[in-house]
Amino acid sequence: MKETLRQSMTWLHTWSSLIVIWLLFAVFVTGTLSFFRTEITHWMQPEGHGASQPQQAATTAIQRLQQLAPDASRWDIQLPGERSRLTGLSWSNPGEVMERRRGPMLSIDPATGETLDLRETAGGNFLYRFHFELYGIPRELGRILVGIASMLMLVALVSGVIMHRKIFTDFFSFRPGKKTASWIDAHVIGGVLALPFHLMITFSGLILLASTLLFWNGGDQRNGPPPAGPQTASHGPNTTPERPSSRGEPRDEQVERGARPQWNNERPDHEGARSEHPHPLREKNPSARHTHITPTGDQPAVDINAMIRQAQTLWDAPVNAITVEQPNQTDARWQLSTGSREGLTSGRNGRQLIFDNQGQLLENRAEPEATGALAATYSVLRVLHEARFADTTVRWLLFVSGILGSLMVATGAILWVVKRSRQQLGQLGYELVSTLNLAAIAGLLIAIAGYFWANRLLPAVLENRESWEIRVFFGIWLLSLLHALFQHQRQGWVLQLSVGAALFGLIPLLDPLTSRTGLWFALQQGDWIRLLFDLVCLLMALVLLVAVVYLRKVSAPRRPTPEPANVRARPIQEVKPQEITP
Amino acid sequence: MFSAERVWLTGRILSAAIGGYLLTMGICLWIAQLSGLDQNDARMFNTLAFFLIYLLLIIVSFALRSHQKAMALNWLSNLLVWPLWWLLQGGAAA
Repeated sequence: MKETLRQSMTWLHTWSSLIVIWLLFAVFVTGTLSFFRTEITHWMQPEGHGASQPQQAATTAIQRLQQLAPDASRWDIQLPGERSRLTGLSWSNPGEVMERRRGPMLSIDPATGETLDLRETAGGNFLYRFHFELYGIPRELGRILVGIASMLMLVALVSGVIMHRKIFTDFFSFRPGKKTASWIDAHVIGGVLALPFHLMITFSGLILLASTLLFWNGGDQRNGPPPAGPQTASHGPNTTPERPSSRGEPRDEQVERGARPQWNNERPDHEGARSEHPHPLREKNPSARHTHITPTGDQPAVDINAMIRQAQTLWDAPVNAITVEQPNQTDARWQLSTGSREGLTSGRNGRQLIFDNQGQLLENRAEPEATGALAATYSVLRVLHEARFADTTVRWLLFVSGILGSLMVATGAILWVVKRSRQQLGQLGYELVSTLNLAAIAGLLIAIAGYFWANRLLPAVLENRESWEIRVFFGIWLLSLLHALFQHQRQGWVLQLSVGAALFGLIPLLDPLTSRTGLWFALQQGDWIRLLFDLVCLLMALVLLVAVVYLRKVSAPRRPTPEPANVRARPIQEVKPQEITP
Repeated sequence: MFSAERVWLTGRILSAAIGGYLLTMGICLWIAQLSGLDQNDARMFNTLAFFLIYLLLIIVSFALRSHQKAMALNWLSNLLVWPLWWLLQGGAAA
């Protein structure tokens, strides 16, 4: 091994990350995008772009449910909010088992109640799922691979910190135009600037994959008791029989899979809790399912807006979800909830108010905080990773940190090649890493842009449309790899990054051309989700364009020349800029 | 291609990865058992502690200068932890 601890750690840092660096980049990029998966799905369903967000969304939803399912035993309404502009409806008919995947579900315009025929799309959910279980391979295998890569990432992060003698001094130095030194500086800046985020997201990612990686630890971690929060405290394995795990999936991921309503992609916890825990309304009113129920018939409808006002006054937070148990019956119960976790250790469903059919408040409940240090720590890590607590500002901060993480990984991969370009040019290992770098970094970005293009250009009524979008994604990625096999030096990068810049840069033009409403309308309606999506694509195109201009400026790599042995043998951080020939 | 150094290095990597995993697992089970945590808390503790201990073991495995010492430390620790764990479990059953 190496002579000193720092040299050993440099070796460990380099090789622990290099063997999975392309996978890590894909996981980081798609994971970063997943912070806005609901927003991405909104952009990818232009049929819903014309919807506005009126005050009377709840009234409209109830009127619509009265038409669609007056005899249902339960209504669920997801109101439009900060991250979604549509109202989602679902209901269960009497006798049906309460499962989210069952029963009709649809999205309506919050103002008019008009049913929106949203196109089938893999949306942001594809990127989300890809970042922890990949695609096209058995799910467990995907999770194991991502878990191994995450563990190696954690090793690389810690060894990267240990190997730096002056990590904070290095952080404040950027030496442009110095080739290797510049890449080192970019790598260090990307790493150190968001180091707490990188450590948190990697460690918490491992915690989330623990059910797969720690097979000996009592089975699925998250379908059972450990998933922190109040459920952990109140429903342990000794008190509540565990629901059999379907394929070891986390609970929230199980309910997200399958025929889910697009509007509800981001709210699995709320829904997911149903099948495992008795519904509070049914607990309160156990006889309602078995004793006689009296149709209200001509009774006046309850004033839902008054309930909402009361809830908002009490909570100082918006109502996101409404559940009506036994609607149109005298013993109906109305539950209004914030619909999502509000703090790092708070319960899944946020706060709830329960009203009777006369609009009288029966109960004001908030799920208890996670109790105990272990449950609280577990809850904090999990919630931090999934950003379920985060408002828009925090979500953007996490997004930027994720971008920095992606930058760190990408510059690390490129640095390995740049450092060895003189000694190893033409060697198999060097050429392989160069090829994979181009395909994994530039190719992935093109594939993501192509995925968005496919979403808008494939016919809206295409059968298995969702699969076709994904096929386009992987098809483009494969093309990028084939191209990289033949041209992975500077010209290859210039070409692929130019294609990426063009695809991202034209998305703001593609958007109004393939949506039923234009960008001006979006601006008038305050559809910031859509506008920011276009803006981020434009920024991405600019970044890629800058990279292209930079690459065109720098000269082609020279023929390999012997380098002083002392420079070759030194670890990365010891190579001083003055020792590097420009 | 197959120099002694490479063979030792491969052994060390495997030792750190597999031996480290087994050792971490044993340590976690030990701590959970000895600390008297209930089943829920023990599982949560294992989940939280495993990756930290595993990380530490990997770092230590590669911090040592000698391949042989690193491998020996790893496997001897396993030899210490697992029989004791087995005895502890057997004692508990009895």
